[in-house]
Amino acid sequence: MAGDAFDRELEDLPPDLRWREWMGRIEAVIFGSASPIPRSDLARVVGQGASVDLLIEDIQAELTGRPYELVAVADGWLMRTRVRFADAIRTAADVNEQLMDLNEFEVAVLAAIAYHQPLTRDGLKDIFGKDISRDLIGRLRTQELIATGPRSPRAGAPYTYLTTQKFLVTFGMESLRDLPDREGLQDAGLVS
Amino acid sequence: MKADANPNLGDIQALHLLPRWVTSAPSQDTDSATFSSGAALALLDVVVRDPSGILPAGLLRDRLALEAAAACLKLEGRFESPSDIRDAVCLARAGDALGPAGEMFVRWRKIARVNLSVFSWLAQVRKLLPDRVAEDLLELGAFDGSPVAQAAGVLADALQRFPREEAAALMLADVALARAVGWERPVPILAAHLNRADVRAIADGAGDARLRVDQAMIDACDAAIRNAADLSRRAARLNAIAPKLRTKGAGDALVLFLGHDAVSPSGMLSPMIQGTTFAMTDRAARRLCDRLVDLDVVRELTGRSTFRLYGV
Repeated sequence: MAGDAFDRELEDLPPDLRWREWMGRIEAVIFGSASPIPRSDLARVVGQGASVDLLIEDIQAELTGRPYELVAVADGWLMRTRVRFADAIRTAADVNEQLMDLNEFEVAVLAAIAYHQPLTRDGLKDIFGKDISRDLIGRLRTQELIATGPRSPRAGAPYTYLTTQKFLVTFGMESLRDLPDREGLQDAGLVS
Repeated sequence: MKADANPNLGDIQALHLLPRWVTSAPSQDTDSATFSSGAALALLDVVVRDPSGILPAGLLRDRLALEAAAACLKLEGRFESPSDIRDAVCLARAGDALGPAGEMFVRWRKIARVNLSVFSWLAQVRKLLPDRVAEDLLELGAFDGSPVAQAAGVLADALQRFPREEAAALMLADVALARAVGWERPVPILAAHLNRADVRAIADGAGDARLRVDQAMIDACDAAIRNAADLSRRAARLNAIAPKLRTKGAGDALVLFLGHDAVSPSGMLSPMIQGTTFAMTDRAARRLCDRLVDLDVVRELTGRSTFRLYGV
C-alpha cells in the first residue's frame, strides 16, 4: 500500500472500534520492533487528534497480569518480558548473548561512567583504585553500552566515555534521571 | 575614534543594581512580592532592550544559559560544575557525543538563540524539548495576565504534567516570559533562582507557585542586571581595543567572544574562525588570545596550562 493511501483517521468506523484499531496498530508496531519506537513514529499510524499517551495507557491497562509489558525507555516505547520472569527465561533458553553477560565489576564500571560521565580511564582508576583494562572498556564499547565523548583536557587528551541510548534501554531507564540518586546510594552503603 | 575608545560609562552604570525597595520586599507577602517582581522585570526589560546599544546581548544570554544548565543538572541529581559543562561543549570535536552536561548546555544555548519574532519560533522551541512535552505544547500556551503570571502559569502547568522534565518546564517559562514582555529572544533567568524544593513544591501543587516565582524573579532580575552591567563594561573595553589588534581576522574573533560564554582557540578560532571562512593557524589563535589577556579584556577561564578556554 502506498504511504499516502494509509488510512490514519478510520472515519468509517464508530469511535470505539476506531480506538481499538488504533490501540492494535500501536501495539503491533511496538511488538514488531526490537528497538524502542519514538512517539512521533507511533503518531503516524493513528488519527491526527488521537493522543498516543492515552492509547498507550489503555494498552498498558490491558496488559496487566500478562508476563510482558509496554514500557517507556530512552526515547520511545518497547515491549519486554516482566523482570520477575527473568529466571524462567534464563533457565529455558540460552540468552547469554542477549543479556550481554556482564559481570559484577563490569556493571560497577558502567555505573561509574553513568554517574560521572564524561569520564576517562584515569578517572575510572581514581574511582576504583586500580587500572581498568582496555579490554573491559573495549567489551562495553563493542556492546554499545558506552561510546567515546569529548577529549579530556589533560596531557595526551585521552578520550572520555559516555553511556549510550542502548545503555538506557538495557537497564530499563528513560533517562539518566532514573539512576538511583546519591542519597539512595549512600543509604545502601554503595558510595561514601 | 575618541568616542569609541571612551564609551559612555554613564549609560552603562545607570542601571547596574535594582533599587533596594525592590529587592527587600517582605518575602512572604504575596501582594508586595508580585509588585516587586513586576518592578524588577520592568527594570531588566530596559536593560535587555538596551536603548544605548552597549549590551552584548548574545553573550549575556549565553552566560545565563550556562547558569541555567548548571541549575537544571543539579535538579536532575547530577554534579557537573559550570567549568565541567564548558569543557564538555568546548573540547568536543564535530560529531562527538557531548554527554549529559554538554547536551543540557547546548539545549539552553539553542533556546536562548531562538528568534521569537519569526513565524517558526514555536517549531524551533518544540525541536529542543523532549517529544512528549513538545506534543503537548499547544495546550501550554494559554495563560493570561502579567508576564510573570504567564511564566508562573506555564511553569506550574508544565511541571505538574511532566514532573521529571524540569529543564523543559523552565525553558518554557523563560520562553513565555520573553514572549509576554516582547523580547526578541528568550533570556534564561528563572532556572538558576529556583531551588529543588521550590521546583518540587510547584510540581506537587503545594503552596503558592506564584509567590515562589515572584521571589525567584526578583533574584533573577537582580542577578541578570548586575551581569548585564558587568558584561557591558567588559564589551566596551573589548571594542575599545579592537583597533589596536593587528592580527588578521581579529574582528571576526571578537564577534565570537561577544556571543559565546567561552572560546576555545584550537576549536573555534583555528583552523578556521567559526562561522566564517577565515583561516587562522593554531599558533595565531593562541597568540591572539594571549594578547587579549595581556590587554586585560579577556580572561583565561580554566586555570590550566593546556586546553585553555577564554571568555570576556
